[in-house]
Amino acid sequence: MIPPNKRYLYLISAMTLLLGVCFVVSLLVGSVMLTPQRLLSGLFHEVDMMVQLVFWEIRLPRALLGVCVGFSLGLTGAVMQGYMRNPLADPGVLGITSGAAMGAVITFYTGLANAFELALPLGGVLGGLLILCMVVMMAGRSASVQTLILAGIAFSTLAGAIISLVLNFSPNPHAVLDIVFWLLGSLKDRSINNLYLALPLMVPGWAMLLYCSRALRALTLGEDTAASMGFSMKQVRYLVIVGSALAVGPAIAVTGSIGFVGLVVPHLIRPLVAGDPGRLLWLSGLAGAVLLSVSDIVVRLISLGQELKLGVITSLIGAPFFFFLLFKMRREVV
Amino acid sequence: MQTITVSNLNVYRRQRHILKCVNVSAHEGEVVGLIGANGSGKSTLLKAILGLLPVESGKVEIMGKHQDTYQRSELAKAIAYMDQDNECNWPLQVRSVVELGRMPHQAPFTSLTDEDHDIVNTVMKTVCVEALAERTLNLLSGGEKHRVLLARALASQPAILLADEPVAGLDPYHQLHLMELFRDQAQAGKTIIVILHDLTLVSRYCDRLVLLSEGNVLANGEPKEVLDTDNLREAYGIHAQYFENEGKQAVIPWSCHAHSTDNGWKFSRLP
Repeated sequence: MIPPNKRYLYLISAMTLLLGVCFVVSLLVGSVMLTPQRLLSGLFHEVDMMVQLVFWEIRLPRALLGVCVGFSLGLTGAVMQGYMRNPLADPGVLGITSGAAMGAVITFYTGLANAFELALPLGGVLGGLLILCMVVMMAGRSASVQTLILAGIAFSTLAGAIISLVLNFSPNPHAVLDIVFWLLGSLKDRSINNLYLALPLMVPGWAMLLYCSRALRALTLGEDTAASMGFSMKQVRYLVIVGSALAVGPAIAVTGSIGFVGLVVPHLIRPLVAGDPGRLLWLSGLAGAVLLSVSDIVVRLISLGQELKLGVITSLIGAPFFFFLLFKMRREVV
Repeated sequence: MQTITVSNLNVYRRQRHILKCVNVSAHEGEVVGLIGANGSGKSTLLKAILGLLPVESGKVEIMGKHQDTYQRSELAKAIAYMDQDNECNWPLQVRSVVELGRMPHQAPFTSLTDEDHDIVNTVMKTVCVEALAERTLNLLSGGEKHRVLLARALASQPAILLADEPVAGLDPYHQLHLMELFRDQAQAGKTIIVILHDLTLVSRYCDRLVLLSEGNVLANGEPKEVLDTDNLREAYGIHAQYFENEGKQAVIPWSCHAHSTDNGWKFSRLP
């Protein structure tokens, strides 16, 4: 048998390799199909303006965003499940994702979305941070995990209600359609500036979440035992809350709601790491990036006249896969 | 050497005065039984010694040093804790669970050294769980599970082991086996404080008993002195039957202590 340490390194390498392949394919696939030769020669040898434009303005931002957003969702999902010790937790459990969606929808409604390029994602980020502040206020009073989950439900419901309110009052059907389509989630036509906005927030978020891996492992045996092993539960709580908000708020702000990746990916990975909630983190992040990249490739390959939305595809791929997994393992999932 | 000294400790939880000026100490090589009725403050006392709870007044000294002067990680190396709640939230293998015990000694982002693995193997052998190494913790029987969790606690090589009801729900064989293991560890120089409800077990295996009643130390001393009729009536509201064997006392709770009131008989501990 391969020792767990080596096995983990193999898994990380394999997943990184897979992600690399997905990334390259993602650069080639689209309404204009490129072969690797055409891409390389168009970029470096005999400069082809069309290839240049497609690569720098469309494909690269899209592929990079797919990787970053997927990594955020997978990682945050794994951290949330580990911290809450609850297999139902997902990145949206604290209400951050709903907050981000709410912020973005408000910029649509107020017309700010068209005022300048990054207004929409910026609104999303601010919405996510607003909810974050409320969660931190709750958590400051040494809230239990259950209280945090319930508070998250309250915040999500509130944000959802505000989104409904905006839809209710929107001036015309086109505005409603804009909002609904945005909410379905997509990586289409996002400029590299979106990445410049999101990445400086995501990276510190990732770092905070990855730093929790040891504490999450200790938490397997409960909060008191973890605390007796030298971990400050207060510190972990803040790292998880702030880290997840920074990782996932900008992701949702840029892409719209993308469901299911954060919930399902940790479940797919957990059997590979024998349940270890610490080792789950990197792998879930990478697997989330793979799943999102693959979904985005599928979106571009299937042309049904109307572009399929990414959020729809992730759930369409994720849900049956998840069901298959549950069916196979039944009792052992948790 | 005195490894734990708790002096004049007062602890409040949610505005309730749980521990009232408690003085307790423990020495190396000693198994101290912490007993008392439900809600008498036993678990709170253990958590206060671990530094998991805010202390109102009084002090806790670990190995002669004030608890506050310890780094969290230093304290975690000195004291191991077996929680009352022994659920493992993810399907971890037994070996991984025992390896968790090495975490206080492990720097962030490093993996276990050969020495860590040796220690894990040794403690697994000590508590007879090496055959279970590849099994999933949650699928083990109660007795096996408690032994694995003891191995986890011992893997950090602590000087002090605090166990909150470690034998709850075990069959007699596994209760005795676990208590034997505690005795062995004390023999090897550890200080052990264990919360128990089985009066015969405490009288048989503990060097000293601390009897808590409503947050006060009602008695502290040899099992025979502590488990006398008056103390048991006062702390638990029970009468017990006593038997002797091999110089140790078997204490069997026999009847609730009831006293006469105007409305007839009433159990003394019921409001």
